[in-house]
Amino acid sequence: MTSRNDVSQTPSGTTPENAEPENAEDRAATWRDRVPQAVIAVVLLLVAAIAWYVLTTGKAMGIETGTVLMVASLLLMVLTGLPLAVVTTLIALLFTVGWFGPMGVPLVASRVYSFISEYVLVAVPMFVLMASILDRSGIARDLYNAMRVWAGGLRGGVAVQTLVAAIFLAAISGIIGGEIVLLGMIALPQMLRLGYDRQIAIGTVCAGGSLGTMIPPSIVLIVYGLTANVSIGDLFLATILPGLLLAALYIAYILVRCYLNPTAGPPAPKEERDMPLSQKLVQLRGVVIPVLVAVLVLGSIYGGVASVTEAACMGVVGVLVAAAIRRELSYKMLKDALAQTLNTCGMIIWIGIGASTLVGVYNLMGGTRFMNAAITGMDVAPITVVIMMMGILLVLGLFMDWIGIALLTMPIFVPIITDLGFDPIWFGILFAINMQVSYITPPFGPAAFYLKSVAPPDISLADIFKSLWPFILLQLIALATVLSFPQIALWLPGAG
Amino acid sequence: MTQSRHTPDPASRPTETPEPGEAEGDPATFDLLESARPLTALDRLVDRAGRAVAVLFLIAVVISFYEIVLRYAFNAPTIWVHETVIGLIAVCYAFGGAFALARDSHIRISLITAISGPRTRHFLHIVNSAFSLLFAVALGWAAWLMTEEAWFAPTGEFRLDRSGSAWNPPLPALVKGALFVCLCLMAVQALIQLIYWLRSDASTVRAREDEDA
Repeated sequence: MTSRNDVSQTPSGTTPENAEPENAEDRAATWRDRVPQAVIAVVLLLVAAIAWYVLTTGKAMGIETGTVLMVASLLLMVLTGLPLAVVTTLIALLFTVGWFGPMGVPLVASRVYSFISEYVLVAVPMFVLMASILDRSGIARDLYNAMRVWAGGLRGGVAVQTLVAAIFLAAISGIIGGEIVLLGMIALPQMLRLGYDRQIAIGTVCAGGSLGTMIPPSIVLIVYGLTANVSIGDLFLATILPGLLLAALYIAYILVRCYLNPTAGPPAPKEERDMPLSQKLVQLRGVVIPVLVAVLVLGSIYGGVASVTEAACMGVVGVLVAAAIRRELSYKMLKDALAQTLNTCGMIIWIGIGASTLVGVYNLMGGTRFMNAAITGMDVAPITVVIMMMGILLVLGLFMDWIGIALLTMPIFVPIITDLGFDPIWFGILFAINMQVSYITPPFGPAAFYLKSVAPPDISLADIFKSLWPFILLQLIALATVLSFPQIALWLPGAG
Repeated sequence: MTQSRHTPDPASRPTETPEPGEAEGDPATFDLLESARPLTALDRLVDRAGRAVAVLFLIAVVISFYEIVLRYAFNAPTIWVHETVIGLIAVCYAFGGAFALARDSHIRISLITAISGPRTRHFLHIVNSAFSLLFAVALGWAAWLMTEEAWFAPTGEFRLDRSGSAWNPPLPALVKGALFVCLCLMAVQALIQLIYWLRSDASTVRAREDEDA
């Protein structure tokens, strides 16, 4: 998703760089400069024209034109490669000045202020910190090893073992990334060594690792709960069955593939599997800490004992204690985990800041009301509206980050959903499944980039994305299932 | 976000070459922080300062835990923890923007970057830092208008906005001030990055990328 990643793919991969003089590459690359430069020049001119029009015409352009220009400038600037946070904030400020004059500007700043001092959002760094500490401890590796007891002589057993470990990890992690990196470092080599079909191995790691935000806790659902103003505890209950449904689909797919083609997922050799029962039990110890932490966090939310933020704090303390007991806690480890948390939060929150200012301005311009009237005024069945929204989310998911999508679209979508008589909790789960798809779809699926960062060098980004198609299909099946049977989500929170 | 690298984060941004962790014989540690490299001297400074600021997260965890224990075990909740935690995290969020700018880890889509040659990528760096500068100056101006209101009465005398709770700390004014300071910092960072890119050329871009690879 960042420039450097992609860049390293293109120019250096094919030509033996050092063998050629530098200007040879420059000459060969002229088309690679001219075409993008022309595109960038056109984009910048268009953006300047829009800015000039907005500043001179202001309110007089009407909300329809305003909506179109806002979306157009957003797409143009985002595709140029400017940071999402920068783009959304600048457009928000542009429209504020154009529509309300310079007096409106402090409104944007106070929206930023209220966003960063939101109590619910305090849970976000806590969950990120929890995952950062977890990543640096050996807890996940032990968990993975403990799952070996399950794999046995089953075809595709190691992939299933990986997915089961991923479910456990997801229950103590509210974000994606760390999990994919970990599974990419432990599970992927294991499967490749046994001669697994590469596509199954890669897909298992990416799709399984993405479950982190599908199985509670999940910062995607925290942000959704914040924007949609629904109970995060209910969202966490509602997402359990759909999350397990996704995992079950993945497991079923792997078992069927490996049953039909035994070479796709050979079991581990007998001598590796043969361990005495006592040793198996020792291995199972690895499950204890994750389960305790999950019980601590989720138990206190479901039990109604603690708020999500307090539960997240308990989770950090739990993981810290676990790491200390395992003698893995050190000054350096903690310091790195904290710095990583700051970096992650800086990225997430500033996209959130930008998106929340933009949608705030749009709302003040009357945009939310306009969209609501336009959509509810359409003569289509309510479920068609939901399906259309899913389509929009899937398309946005190709290009944007989940938090940007959540904060931009949900303030507009959720009131419509409620007006149509649907349950916003159910819609939140549909959103979460949509974001599962967005993690693994090209060209910017973050899961693929995480895996690429730790995969053997002969596995290219293109290989990874190619392996993910069957899993995208499974996610779409899960999406359609929960769309058709809302009870799957609503049964546990007791609203269905 | 995630990532956690993200940290990934979830949301996090993917990194390139992995640096397998240092812990002995432990294949499953992976430091995602290794890969981001600050560009200018100021960025390096912000990067180091961030490691200090990040300790505020730990403080927030510790005092939240203290509050939970007091409330649930001793039924004696405090009046100051809740607001302090929000304030600490808000400051971290504000500084996180500068930290991510220093490490070039703000999320963006690199469609055009991916298909262009080094000269265009150099030009894109210039465009990017110019827009980041515009962003920080514009939002910084907005934040100044808000901060001014929070720090000075309409008559011009100094007074800090307070939260109005039982504890009534001046945290709103302090957080607004911190946001303004961080945006000023980001403006200077973006300006120095812009100057860096204006004074370099395509070969610098390639050299940096080669180092990364």
